[in-house]
Amino acid sequence: MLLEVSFDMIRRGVFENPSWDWSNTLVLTLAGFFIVFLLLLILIIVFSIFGKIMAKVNAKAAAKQQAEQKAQPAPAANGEVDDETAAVIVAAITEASGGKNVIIKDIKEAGK
Amino acid sequence: MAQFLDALSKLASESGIAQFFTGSWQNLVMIVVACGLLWLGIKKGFEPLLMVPIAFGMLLANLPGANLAVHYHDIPEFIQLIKGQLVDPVTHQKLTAGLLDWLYLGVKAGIYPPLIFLGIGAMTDFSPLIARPSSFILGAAAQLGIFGAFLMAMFLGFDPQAAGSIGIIGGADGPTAILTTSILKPSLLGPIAVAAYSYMALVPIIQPPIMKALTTKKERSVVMETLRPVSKKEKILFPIMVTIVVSLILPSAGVLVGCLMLGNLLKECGVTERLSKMAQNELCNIVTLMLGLSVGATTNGKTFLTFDTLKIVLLGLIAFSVGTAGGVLFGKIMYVVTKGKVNPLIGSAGVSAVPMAARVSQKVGQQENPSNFLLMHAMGPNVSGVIGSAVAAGVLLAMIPH
Repeated sequence: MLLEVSFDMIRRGVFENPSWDWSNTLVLTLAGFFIVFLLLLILIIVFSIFGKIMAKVNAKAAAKQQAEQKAQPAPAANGEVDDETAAVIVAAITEASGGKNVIIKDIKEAGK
Repeated sequence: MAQFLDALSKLASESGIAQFFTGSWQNLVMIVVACGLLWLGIKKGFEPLLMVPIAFGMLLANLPGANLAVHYHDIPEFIQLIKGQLVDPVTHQKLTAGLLDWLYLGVKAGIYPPLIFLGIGAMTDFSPLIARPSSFILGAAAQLGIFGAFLMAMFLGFDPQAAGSIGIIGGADGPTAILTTSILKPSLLGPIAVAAYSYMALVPIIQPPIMKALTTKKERSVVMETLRPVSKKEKILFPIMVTIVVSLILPSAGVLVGCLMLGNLLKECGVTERLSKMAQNELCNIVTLMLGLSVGATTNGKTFLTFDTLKIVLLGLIAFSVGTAGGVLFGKIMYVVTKGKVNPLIGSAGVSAVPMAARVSQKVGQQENPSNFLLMHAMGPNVSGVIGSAVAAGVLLAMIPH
C-alpha cells in the first residue's frame, strides 16, 4: 500500500509534471534502485531470521534422532537375541505353525 | 508465346527477389543479419536455445512477399487484424493473421515469459541463497546496471517507456526483458531481445576484465567457508515465503516471481515430480521455441535497421558492464564488512544469466587460486539476481506509465 502511494507520487511527480527535468529523472532512477534494494534487504532480514529458526528446529530434530538411536538396544555381539525380539519371533512362528508352542529359550539358543 | 512470357514476367515481378530491388533492401540486410545470428547460435553456441529460433523468426519476417512478419504491436491492432481491417502500408492489401501473429499473442499477452520462469524455477536450486541470505544484497547491487542504462537512455533522448525497456537488458534475463518491453515499448521488442540474448551469451567475455579491474589479487584469492547444509523443509518453505513477501510488497513483480517460485516448489516438494519434469522440459522447451520465433518475427528490416537499434545495442553493453561492476563493488563492501571472508568475485554473478555468470566467477577465481571453488558461493548471488531482475522489472512497470 505504502509502496503504491510512493509509485503514484513518483508517476505524478516525474511524468505528469509540466516542469519535468533531469533532477526528476535522477530521482526516478534512484527511487527505483532504492526500492529494489529495500525489497531484497527485507528478504535478507526475513531469511536470516528464518535460517536461525530452522537451525534450531534442525538441531532439535537431530538431537531427538540421536536420543532415539541411543534408546535402541545395541545388537548382541555374539548373535544372541534379546527377550523382546525373541517374543516377536515366537509370535510369528506360533502363528505360522498353527499354534504350536515354541519356547523363548530355544529361539535364543538357536540364535547362537 | 507472348502470353507465356507475360506470365513469366508477372511471376518474376511478384517474386521476393524482385521486391529486394524495389525498396526492400533492408530485408536483404536483415536476412544477412539473421544468417549471422544463426551462425553464432549453431557454430559458436551463443545461447542457441533462443538465438536459433529468434534468428529464424528474423529470417522469416524479412522474406519479401512471404508476409510472415508479425503485423501488430498491441491487442487492439490484433483485433483489427483478425477482423480483416488491417491494411499493409506498402501494398495497401488487407492483411490476414498468420501463424506467427497468433504465436506472438503469447508475448503480447504476457504469457510466455512467466511460463519460462516456471521452468527456470523448476531447474533452480536455491540452497546456496537459503544458506547465505546476505547473497540477496549482491543480487540487488547488480541491478544497478538496469537503472544506470535507464538514466543514460533518457539522456540519449529515448522516452521513459523505451528507456525502461532498454535498462532491463542489464538484468541479463531474457524473459524479464521481453515481458517488460512487450508492456512498455512493444515496437522495440526485436532489438531488445536480440541485444539481451547476445550479451547474455557474451558474459564470459564482458565480465572478466571488469572483475579483474575492480579487485586486487588478494581479494580474488579468498577461499570462502563451506555453506551449511539446507534441510528439505527450508527448501519447501523458501518459495512460499518469497512469493508472499515479494507479491505483498510489490504486486507488479508477482507474476514473474510467483511463477519462478511455483516451479521451484514443484521441484522441492517431492510429490509433484511429473509436473516438475514437465515444467523443466516440455513446457519450457515449447514456450522457448514459440517465444523466440515470434519475437524474431517482429524484426522487420524497415523498423529494425535504425540508428536507435545501434543505440540500444550500445546501451545494453553499458547496462551489463555497470551491473557487473555494481555486483563486484558490493562484493568488495562485503569483503570489508566480513573481514575478508567473502570473495568479491561472486558479486558479478548477481547479474542473473544463470548459471553462466556463476561459472565466470569460478573461472576468474581459479585463475588466482586453482584450488578455490567459488561456484556454489556464486550461485547464491546468481539466483538472487533472477529474483532481483524480476523485482526491478516490477518496479519499472509500476513507476513508468504505460
